[in-house]
Amino acid sequence: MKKRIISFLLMIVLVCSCFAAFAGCNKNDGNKEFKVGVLHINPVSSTSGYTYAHQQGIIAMQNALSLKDSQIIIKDSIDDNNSSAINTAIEELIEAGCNMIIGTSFGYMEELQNYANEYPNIIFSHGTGSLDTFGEGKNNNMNNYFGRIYQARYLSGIVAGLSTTSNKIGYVSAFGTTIAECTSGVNAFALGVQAVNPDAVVYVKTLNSWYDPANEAAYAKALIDMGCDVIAQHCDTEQPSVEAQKAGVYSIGYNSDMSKAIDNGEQTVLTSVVWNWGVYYTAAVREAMKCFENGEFKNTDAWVAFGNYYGSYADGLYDITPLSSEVSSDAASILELVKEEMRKGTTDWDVFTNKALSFTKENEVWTMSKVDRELKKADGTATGEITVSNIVGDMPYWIQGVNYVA
Amino acid sequence: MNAIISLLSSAITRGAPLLLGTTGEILNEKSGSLNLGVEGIMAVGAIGGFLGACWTESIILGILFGFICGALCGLLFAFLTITMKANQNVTGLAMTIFGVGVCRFIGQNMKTEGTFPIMNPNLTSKFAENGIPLLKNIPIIGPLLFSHNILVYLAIIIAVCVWIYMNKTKAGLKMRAIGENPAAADSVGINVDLYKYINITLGGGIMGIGGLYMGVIINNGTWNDDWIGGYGWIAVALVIFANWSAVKALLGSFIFGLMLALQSKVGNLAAEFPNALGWTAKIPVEFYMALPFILTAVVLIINSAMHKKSGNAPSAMGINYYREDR
Repeated sequence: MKKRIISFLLMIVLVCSCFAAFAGCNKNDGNKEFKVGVLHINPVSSTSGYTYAHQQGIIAMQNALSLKDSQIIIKDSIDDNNSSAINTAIEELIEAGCNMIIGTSFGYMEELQNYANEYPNIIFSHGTGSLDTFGEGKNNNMNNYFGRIYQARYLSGIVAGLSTTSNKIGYVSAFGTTIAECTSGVNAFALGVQAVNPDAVVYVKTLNSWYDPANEAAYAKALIDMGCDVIAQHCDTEQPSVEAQKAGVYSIGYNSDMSKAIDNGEQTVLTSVVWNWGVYYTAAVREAMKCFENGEFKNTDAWVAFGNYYGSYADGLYDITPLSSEVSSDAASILELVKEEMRKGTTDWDVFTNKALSFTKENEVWTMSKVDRELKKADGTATGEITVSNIVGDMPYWIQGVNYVA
Repeated sequence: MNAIISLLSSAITRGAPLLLGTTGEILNEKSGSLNLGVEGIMAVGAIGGFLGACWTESIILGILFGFICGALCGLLFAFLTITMKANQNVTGLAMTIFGVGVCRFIGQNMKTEGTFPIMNPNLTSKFAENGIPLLKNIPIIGPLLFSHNILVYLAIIIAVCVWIYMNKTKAGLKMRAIGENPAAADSVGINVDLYKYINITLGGGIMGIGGLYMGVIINNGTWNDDWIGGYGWIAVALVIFANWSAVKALLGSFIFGLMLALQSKVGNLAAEFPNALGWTAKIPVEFYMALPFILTAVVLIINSAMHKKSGNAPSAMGINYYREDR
């Protein structure tokens, strides 16, 4: 008798769960509005740093395209080393009926790629990655987006070079020579420093993690202990800036305007290297929506034509924030010269070309000239020509003037 | 020399929250309760103390708030395990999940106009670098021992006081007796439940100050959702390392602090002594991250190899006391 009752109950449970499942299906089919899913690495409630910058971009996109809140589904705090967490989050986004999934962190690359293979009807957009996904034998429903952020780092290097008095500049980097996004950032920063202050040395410490607030502060402290008086950073929170302020030295922020993230930051944060992701998100989602008809990804050619995105200075995808009052007035004039050069997008000069910028002051007016140089690695060998693919995906070395201290 | 001083002094700064957590846990375990909720209690103490300090603009009241919030969590644990006789292991794990959750919930919702109330820099600097006047100007010893934040000295004072309480007072003797054999203690007229309640609550309060330390010193009074970052679990391991003695915990927590500090300071050492210590920077950083835990395993092995069955571990730890079963 007992067995019968139990099996009867089990049967009821089964039947009910079937109904529930079908009900879910119906709801999805009936819903034709365009939905965007977003994967963030850190809590979406952060008020500065990496995820904050991306989330501001998403909000800007939502406002620009007047999407409803229900059309944007966010999964935050998805560790980008944790494959099963990424897979779960992507599956949840797919189940929620997303037509486009944006992964904002480097480590989501492989998982997004796998799901792009499996779901040709969904557009996947991956930030800061290095996979080239278009072309023969590859998916045409996935793209990469990134920008020439190293140019903004070069600008911030100029600010640091003019502001240091000990000629020691600290740099807390997330990763070392294994990830080109980090090395190209440090190297561009160092070139900016050298352009105005050839004697200064950039000391780099690497966290081996994108997000590790307690250690971000500790690493900054270790650099300050070595005598560094400007702390730049490539990590996800404002901790290096807070630690620098506590120790009475300057800092340079990243991702979002960090002078606003800490009290009295207007003075101690010299400038911040910032992303303006809304530029890309608005363009990409607008384009993606055009590719869909009645919830079907019809116009693949248009998406392939949109392609990978590598934003430039002229797009406004990145910049440095207004300078602190502690920075000498020369910096502003020099920066304006360089920014003008970047805006033009000239082909004969970029941060990593074999021309260096040199600045001279005559009658209170700064002029800029280009001089030949050969870029060298920290070990003294030549780097050879550096192309965009080097900067994005293959730069396993520090350049001369960078001192790696583990 | 600079690098060594900076390494050792940061070992002390990083060891102090461990010391507070460990001292609190020793009070718990010595009175017979295995409290695995250290991480959670620290988290609640952290957010409570942080808000208290921000609200009252006073570090003393901030510390008091941290203590009270931690103590309330301890009281909850005591109520569940002593009065309700809930399983201690499960309750402790639940306290961890609960405490970390409460901390995140409050932290993420304290946004005002898009920004978190970050601790006023005056307050942060009051917490951070005070040191002992005059003494901190002595070369080498000054920066090493006398230029720390107020909470470091508080942690050391608390640890010593707890040791004196446990080993030199009648109340401490009774409390240890309960941890060894509550039935025997009960039979000589010691109020078992009352002693347990007091010690667990007190221990929780001390853990709470440790949590406040994590928030305002290690994380600079800036909100992120991982303030405690596993220090509570290290504290649980440290109790065994310290053989249930608050004074040995002093040494143990600073050794663990050294291991934690190595990760960020190893490069400085290698840069200052390239010939002697240059190799240390070539070891992958993951090794330094694992070091405290390797050390714990080694100490446990040494302990058992020396035929000390379980060291000073209280015999009745983790077992609920039923008076009726006596």
